[in-house]
Amino acid sequence: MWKYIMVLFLIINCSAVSAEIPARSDKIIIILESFQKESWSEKELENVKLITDFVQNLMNYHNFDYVLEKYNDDSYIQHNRNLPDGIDGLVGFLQEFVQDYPDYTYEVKHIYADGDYVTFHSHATLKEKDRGNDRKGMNIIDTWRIENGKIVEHWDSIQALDTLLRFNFWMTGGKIRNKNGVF
Amino acid sequence: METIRNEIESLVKDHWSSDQKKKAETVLLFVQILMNDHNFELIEQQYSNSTYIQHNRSMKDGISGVLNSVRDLTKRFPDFAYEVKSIFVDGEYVTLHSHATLNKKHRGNERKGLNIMDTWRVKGGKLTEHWDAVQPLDGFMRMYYWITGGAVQNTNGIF
Repeated sequence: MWKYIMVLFLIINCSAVSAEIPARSDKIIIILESFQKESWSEKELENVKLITDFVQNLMNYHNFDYVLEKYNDDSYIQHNRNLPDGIDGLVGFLQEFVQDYPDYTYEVKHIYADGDYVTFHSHATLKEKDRGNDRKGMNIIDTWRIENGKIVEHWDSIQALDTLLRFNFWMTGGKIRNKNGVF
Repeated sequence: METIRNEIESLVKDHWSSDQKKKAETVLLFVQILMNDHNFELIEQQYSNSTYIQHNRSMKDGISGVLNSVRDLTKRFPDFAYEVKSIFVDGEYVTLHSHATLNKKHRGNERKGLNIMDTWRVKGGKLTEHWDAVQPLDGFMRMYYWITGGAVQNTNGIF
């Protein structure tokens, strides 16, 4: 009898515990295979793998130590004018950002490769409940340039979708934090 | 009217196949006629008959949707121009990174206008689908997008 009560207690307890796990444990994972194109050369596939690892750890896992360790030597010329230059500039910015928005995620919708260039079209959201809702968050197209297995340059266009973010971009979108130019 | 001309020779990549170059040229020609020459009659004649799935939510679906949007814009801003900075081609997909400006004096000034990345799907020589991300650069455009950027004119979704 006690055994059954004990098991029942454990089950109830377990379900209570799992329900309390914060939503941010549900990380979006980029499945490269679902984007892979026949047109890609082996080198292009390698480039896409590299960017997928980078973006997954930076934007979804928020694994900043890993990103700094693995990518900090890359020259990473930043053309997003709102971000400081280099990998450390980008990581520093995001580290602060995810303190306010721990559920920040970047869901990749399309991947394109052309020689040294990899382009991702993605939906970024600040809150977990906004994932998959294209009226919320940001519509982003990013392009990276890869040279000898290093990420050397980044461009993007970021479109704020909901009213609050569009207001925010009106207010703060003119702040320029690097000298590399937008294009 | 003095327009911007985007030349394939300055944008082509060494490793492109002839097919990749052809697809890039197809898209460049379309944006030249539409965004720089503003030759809307020619767009109507040559592009209206094919499917054009529009993912830019501020425009109505089809060629007629983008045609009307650009036509309206150029009534207020006849010097509207679209300068292509880079082209990427992957299979059927052609991506352009461009700087669009409303006024002639803003051409080449990246503090003004719009930072745009567009992708088109090119099938059988025709443009069949379009996605983009449009980022307003100057304060006025950012305010304008805050006010008007939420209107949704088609049901295709952004992605």
